[in-house]
Amino acid sequence: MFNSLSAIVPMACVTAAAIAAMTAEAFRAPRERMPIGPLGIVGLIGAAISTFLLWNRNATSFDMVVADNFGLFVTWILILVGILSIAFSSPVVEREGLPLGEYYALMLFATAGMILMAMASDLLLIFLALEVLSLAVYVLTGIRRDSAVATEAAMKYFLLGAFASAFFLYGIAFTWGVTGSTNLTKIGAAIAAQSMAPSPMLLFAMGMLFVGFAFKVSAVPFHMWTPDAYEGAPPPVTGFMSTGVKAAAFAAFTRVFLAAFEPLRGEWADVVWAVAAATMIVGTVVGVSQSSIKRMLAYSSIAHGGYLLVALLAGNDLGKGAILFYLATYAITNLGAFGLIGLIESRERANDQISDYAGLWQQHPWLAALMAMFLLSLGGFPPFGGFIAKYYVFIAAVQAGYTWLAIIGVLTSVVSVFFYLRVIVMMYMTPASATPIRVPSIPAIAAAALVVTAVIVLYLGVLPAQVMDWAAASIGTIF
Amino acid sequence: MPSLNDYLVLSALLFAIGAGGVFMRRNLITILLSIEIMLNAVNLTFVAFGRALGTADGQIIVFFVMTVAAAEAAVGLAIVIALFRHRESLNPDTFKALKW
Repeated sequence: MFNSLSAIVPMACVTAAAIAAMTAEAFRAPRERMPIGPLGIVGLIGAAISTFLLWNRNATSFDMVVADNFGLFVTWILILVGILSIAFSSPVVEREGLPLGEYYALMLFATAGMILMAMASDLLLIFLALEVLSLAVYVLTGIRRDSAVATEAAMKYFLLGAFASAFFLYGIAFTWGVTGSTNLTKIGAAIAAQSMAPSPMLLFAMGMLFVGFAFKVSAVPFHMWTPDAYEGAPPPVTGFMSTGVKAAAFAAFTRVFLAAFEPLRGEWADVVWAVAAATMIVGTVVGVSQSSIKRMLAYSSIAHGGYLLVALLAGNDLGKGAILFYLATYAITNLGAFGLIGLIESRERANDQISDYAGLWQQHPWLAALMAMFLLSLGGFPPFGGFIAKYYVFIAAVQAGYTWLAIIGVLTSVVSVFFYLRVIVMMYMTPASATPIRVPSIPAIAAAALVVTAVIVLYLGVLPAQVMDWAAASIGTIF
Repeated sequence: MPSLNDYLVLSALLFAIGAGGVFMRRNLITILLSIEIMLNAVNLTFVAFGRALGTADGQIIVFFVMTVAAAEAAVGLAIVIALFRHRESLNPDTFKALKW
C-alpha cells in the first residue's frame, strides 16, 4: 500500500530535514552553535538518493505527483541548488548573525516546494507548491531585518509575487471551469477534444496562467521585482532564488504549456515569441548600464530566462532537452557567482559595486579566476557549460523555424559579453583601489562548494554528452 | 435566479477592483487588502463554476485558497511591520532605497 507514496519521498526527505531544523532551533540555547546546515544537507542527500532510485520508474502518488524522469531531472538540479546554497550560506549566516534554524528551515521548505512544483501534475498542486516556495523565499529575502534595503526588497517581491499568484489562480479557476479538471493530462485531453476554435474563456485562462508563470521566471514585462529582490537579499539567497525558483517555475511552465496546452500552440506561440525576444533584449540592454554587480547579474538572469523561453517555444525534442540542460548549467554557474559574491561581502562593506572588484586578481588570484570562469560561462564562452547550453538552445530554435529569435539570441548574448567582460577587466587589468577587498578566511564547506561548482561548469562544457543524454531521456516521459 | 455568467461578471469586477487597488492605493495595508479581494474574487469564480459543473470540488478548492491567503497575509503583515520599524511610514512612495 505504500507504493502509492513513493513519488513524494524526495520532498518528504527535504521537509523532514526542514522540520528537524526548526525543532533544533527551538532547543538551541542562544549563541549555541549547532550543525543545522549540515543537517539540511543530509536531508537533501537523502532526497537525491530517493530520486536516483525512482529514475525510470514513473511512480505516481495521489494522481497528482508524478515522479517521471522530467521531474526527477529537475529535482536533481534543485537538490544540487539546495546543497550548494546551504554550503555558500554558512559564512554569510555567521557574519550577519542570521537566525540559524529559521534560515536553513526556510531554505529547505522552499526546496521542498520547488521539488513538488517540478513533479506536480495538477494545476492546484502547482499553485500550492508555488506558494510554499514563494512564502519561504519572501521571508528569506527580508531575513536581514535590521537592513532597510532588505526589508524593502522583501516587500516589493512579496507584493508583486502575491499579485501574480492571484492572476495564476484566476487562470486555474477558468481552466477548471472550462475543462472540468485541474489534472494536466485531463485538461490536455479536454482541450484536444474541443472543436477547432477554442473558447474565449479558455484563452483568457491560458493568458492568466502565462502571466503567473512569467512573473515567477521574471520575463519582461513582469521582471520589475527581480533586480530589487536580488539586490536586497543576502547573496546566497539571491543565488538560491535566481536558480531554484527559476528551475521549478520553468519545469511547471513546460509541463503546463507543452503538455496540457500543446493543442493551443497556435494561440500562445506568438505571445511567447514576443515575450522571449523582449526578455532577452531588455535583460541585456539594461544590464549593460548597471554599476552594482548584483543588479547586473539580476538583469543577466532575466536575459537567461529569455533564452529558456526560446527553448520552450521551439518545443521540439532538442528544445525540450535544451531546457533541462540549460537549467542545469545556468543554475550551477549562477550559484557559483552569487556564492562568490557572498564570500567577498564583508560586514562593514557590501562590496557589491563592480568597481570594488578592481585588482581582485592581486589579492585573491583564485577567487578572481573562479569569478572569471563563472562570468565567461554565463556569457557563453567555450569551453564552459554556458556555451554548450546556448548552442543547443539556438540550434533547437533554428530547427523549429524560429531563425529570427535565434538571431536575436545570438546578438544579445554578444552584447551581454560586454558587461561580463567589464568585471573581468576590472579584476585583472585595473589597479586596486586604496582599500582593496580583504576576504577573511573562507570556511572549508564554502571552498568545497566553489570547487564543486567550478568542476561541474567545466564538465558540462567539455563533456556535455552524458548530461545531454539524461536530459533527452527525461523529456520522453511526459510529452 | 442569477446565472453562472452573473457570478463570473461579479467576480471579474471584484478582481478588477482588487487589481486596480494594488496600483492606485497609497497605503501598504490597503494594498494587502486589495490582494485579498483579488483572491476572494477567484474563490467566487471557483464556487460559481463548481455549482455550474455540479460538483463540490470548487468549494473544496476554496478551502485551499483560503489557507494560502491566510499564510500569505501573515507573511505580508510581518514584512509590513519590519518595514514600518525602518521607515515610520506605510506609503510605498517613501521606499526609495531601491530603484523600482
